[in-house]
Formats: sequence, C-alpha cells, structure tokens
Amino acid sequence: MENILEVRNLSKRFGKINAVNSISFSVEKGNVYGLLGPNGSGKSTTLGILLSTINPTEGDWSWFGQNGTSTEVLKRIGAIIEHPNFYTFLSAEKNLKIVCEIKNVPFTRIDEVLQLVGLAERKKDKFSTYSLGMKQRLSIASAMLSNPEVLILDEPTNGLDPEGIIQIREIIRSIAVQGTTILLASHLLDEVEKVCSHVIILKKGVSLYCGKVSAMTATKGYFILQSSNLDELQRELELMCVFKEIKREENKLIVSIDQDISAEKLNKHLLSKGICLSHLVKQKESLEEQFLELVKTK
Amino acid sequence: MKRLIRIEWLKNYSYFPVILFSSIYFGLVIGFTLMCAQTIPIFGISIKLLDQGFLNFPQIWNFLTYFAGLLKIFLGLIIIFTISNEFTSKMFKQNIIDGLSRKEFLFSKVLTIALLSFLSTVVVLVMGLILGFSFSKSTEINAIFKESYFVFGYFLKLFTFLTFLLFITVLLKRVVFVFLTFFIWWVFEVILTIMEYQSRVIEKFDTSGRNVTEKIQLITDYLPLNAMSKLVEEPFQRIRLIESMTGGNFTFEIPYLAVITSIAYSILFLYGAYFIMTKRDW
Repeated sequence: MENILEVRNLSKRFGKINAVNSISFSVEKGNVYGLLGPNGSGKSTTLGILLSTINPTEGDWSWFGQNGTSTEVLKRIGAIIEHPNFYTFLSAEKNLKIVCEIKNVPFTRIDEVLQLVGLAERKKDKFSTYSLGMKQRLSIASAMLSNPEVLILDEPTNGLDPEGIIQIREIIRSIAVQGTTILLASHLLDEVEKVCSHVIILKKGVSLYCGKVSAMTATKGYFILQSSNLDELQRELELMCVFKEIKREENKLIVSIDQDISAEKLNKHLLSKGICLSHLVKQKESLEEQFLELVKTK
Repeated sequence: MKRLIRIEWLKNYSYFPVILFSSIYFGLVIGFTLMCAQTIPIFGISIKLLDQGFLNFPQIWNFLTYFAGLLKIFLGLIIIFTISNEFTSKMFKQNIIDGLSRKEFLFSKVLTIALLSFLSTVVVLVMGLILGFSFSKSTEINAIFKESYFVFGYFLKLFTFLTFLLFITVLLKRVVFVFLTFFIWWVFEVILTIMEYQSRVIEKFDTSGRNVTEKIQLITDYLPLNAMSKLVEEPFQRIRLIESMTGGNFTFEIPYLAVITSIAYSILFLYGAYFIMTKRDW
C-alpha cells in the first residue's frame, strides 16, 4: 500500500532534553493511526516537526514521497494542534475565509465544513463566544476545508466534556469512513483503541511499537482459572505444553496462551483428567494492558 | 500578491487596535494640516505659519512631512499590535500549518507596511497640494515640484520606521517588550549622539554671533533612528524669523546618505525578521 508519510531517525533536542530520539515510522494511506504516549513523550514535538513549525535536530521525512514539508504539502494536510487557534475577534466564517485564502480553496467550502461539524448556525458569531467544544469542532472544520488527504489531530478531545468528546469522535469516525488518512496523537488509550486501526507508541521520545492495533493485542489472550486444588491444576496445565506462562495470583491461576486453545476444549481436557474448575474465563489483553506492558519493560 | 493583500485585509479590517489607531492617526494628520492656516504658539511666541512662509511651495513639503512624521508612532502601534497578536495568539504557527510560507507571511506584513506608508504619503501629498494652492505665494510648476523629494523621503521614513518595529516585534513578540525595547533603543541613540557631538564637534561663532560651526559627518548618523530622522530634517532652520536672526540662507540638499542608510536598514530588518522566523521553533 502507498505510504503517505515516512519518518526516518527523527530527533529533536531542546538543550539537554531529548524530546524526540531517533524515531522512525510510516503511515499508510487510508488507515487511522494513533500516536500514543504519556504526556511529554514527544508526540506534539514530532507533529510540530512534520508540520514544519519545529526545526528537527536530525533525521528526515517525506510526505507523499517528497522530502520535507513544503507549503504545497501542507495544503494537502489538515492539522489541529493542541488548542484551537483562531483570530478571537473574527467570526467563524471570517476565520475560515482566511484559511481558504491560505489554502487556495473556494469560499463555498465554508458552509460545507461548518455543516459537517454542526456549526452552520453559529458561523456569524465571534470566535471568542464559542465554547471549548465548539472551538475544537471549528478546528476540525478548518482542517477539512481543503479536503485533505491526511488529517492530523493532536489531542482533539483534551479538556472536553463527555458530550463534546463523543461529538468529536463521531466526526473523526465519519471522516475516516470517507477514506481520509488520520494521524491522531493522544494519551488516552481508550480513544486510540476506539478510533485507530494502527498505533505508534512513544515513550520519552523513543518509539516502542509501530503497527496494527489488532496485531498488538494479537497475543492469544489468557485464562483465569480456579479450582479446589490449584497445585494439581497447575501440574496438569504444565503437562499440556500449550501455555507460555502460568502465574498464581491469590487463589487463581493466570495462564497465558501460546498455542490457541478454546475454553471448551480446555475444560473438557481437564475434566477428563478429573479436575473440576470452579472458574473459567478466557480474556484478551486490552490495549491498555499491552501499552503498560510495553512502557514498563523497555 | 493579491491573495496576500486579501489575507491581510481579512485579518485586520475589524481588529480593534487597527481601527482605533488608524482613525486617530489619519484624523490627527488631516486635523493638523488643516490647523496650519491658523496661528499656533511655538516656544511661547505665536507664530503665524502663513506669515513665516511655511505654506509656500516648495518649503511646505518640508514642513508638512516633518510634522506628519512626528505622528508616525500611531502607525507603529498598528504594526506592533497586529504582528504581536499573530504571535501571542499562535496564529503565526497556525498560518504556517495551514500552508502559508514564512516568506509569504513576512511579505504580507511588508505589503501592509508599504500600504500604510503609501496611504499616509498620499494624504500628506493631497493636503500639501490643497494648502499650497490656497496659501502659497507661488504656484508655479517648478516651485511645486522643486522639493518633491520630501514626499519620497517621508514615505521612506515611515517604511523604515515600520520595518524596524516589525523586526523588534518578531524578535520579542509581546507588545510591552516591544515598547520597552523601542524606548530604550531611542534613549540609547540620543545619548550616543550627544556624546559624539560633544566630543567631536567644536561649536564656533563669528563676531556677529552667527553659528559657523563646521559640519562633519557623525558616526551616530548611521544609527537607524537618526538615519530616519535625517530623511526629513526639521524645517525651523528655514523659518524666516531664524533666517533673519542668523543671516544664513537655506539651501536644500537631498540627504543621499540618509536615504541609502535607511534603505539598507529596511533590508536588514526584513532579513533579520525572516531569519528569526525560520530559526525559531514555533
């Protein structure tokens, strides 16, 4: 598949701090990427470099196969960075007119994008009268003006109330459905898991994982088992040779699966060996657990 | 270029400081020139400008451009507020992300500066023609155009002044810092100029008390604010009252050195602003 963005060994140093430390990843057309990491892990810096507002210390990148970020490239990208930035003394419509002029887009797009984010009725009102949720929606409208091939969102739901968060997610999803590539930076795992198909995990400026969300959670999961005789159960499980790891936690056994086995099959097998289970649950690790695992171990 | 002007127009036409300062400025310039036909008190003496020959061609140009030039700080305020707002509200960063290049951003500001300077020049030019044709003793073509340099000098003075403010605003971003720095720089130039004048110029008077001090080229004339003020020199040296006191006869010379220095500074300030925009992380 076509790569829209390729980043190679990108680094940024602020004095002694390595904000971004030689990260590499690529973004394929049509997917929704999550750039995941705790606060201060270099997400915004990375996006800043890719949007040409921050000068990198080292490394290179290419958008649509062209090296670096030209203004022509920026016109094909829609980006929302941190807080919604607009001229506070101008109405939504006038603000979007300025963006239209910058991006060489006809003014007729303004009503279309305002419709998309549900702000058409407020377009004549000054930006300073908007609530945070509306400001954020206006940012998305602004980013969508040029029908971008890529949409970059930096913490789009930060500081919003639950209703606002749901609205923003709905909008993102409706944009993703149209085939727009999305790169979403967030520290909210839940958000990335709900919206993204791919994930890039950053920690202290280093990328720990880059790939499909499903591949990341593709460990076959684990069983939580209980029985009156745990020792016997553990011995029997070890004999089966399909498990990676067997951990005892209070009166439970947590068993990671190595070769796929269904709960039914396991239950049958244990019964045939004369072991009765009082508790049997098969679970898959959530992204959150995977993420914590990754961030912890490296 | 049209696109950049449209962008600047959309950004600025309903911005309160722009409306405020431009109406104050143009109101003052026009009001002031209209007042010129009246008697005004200078240094405790009521001088009727008309009688002093100020409103005659060609010296009316010197007179009008000098006094209109004193009001240029109001134009400066427009530049400081609009550009500072671009940075403090992070709109510069947003413009860049939206696809405006740094060069285009800077060029759009230069266009605004040029347009403001041009408008002000046109106003002064028109007022000069109106006053001149109403009051000047001579309205010969030759007299009208003789010192038309002042119109150009006035434009260049405004342009250089505004690029200077653009540079410090890009450098410091916040209005308060810009004011402080500008003021400190101004005092600094004044002090340096006085120091150089006192150490290098020996004032001489002849027997009748006429000032015959030899003119020498001061190094401080190359400082930006001094160079700008040398573009349009104060017109009092050619006032009839003073001419009769000192017995000197005023002859006008185009200050080529100030013109070249000012143009050089404009270019330097614009390059400096561009350099800061590209090197800084936004």
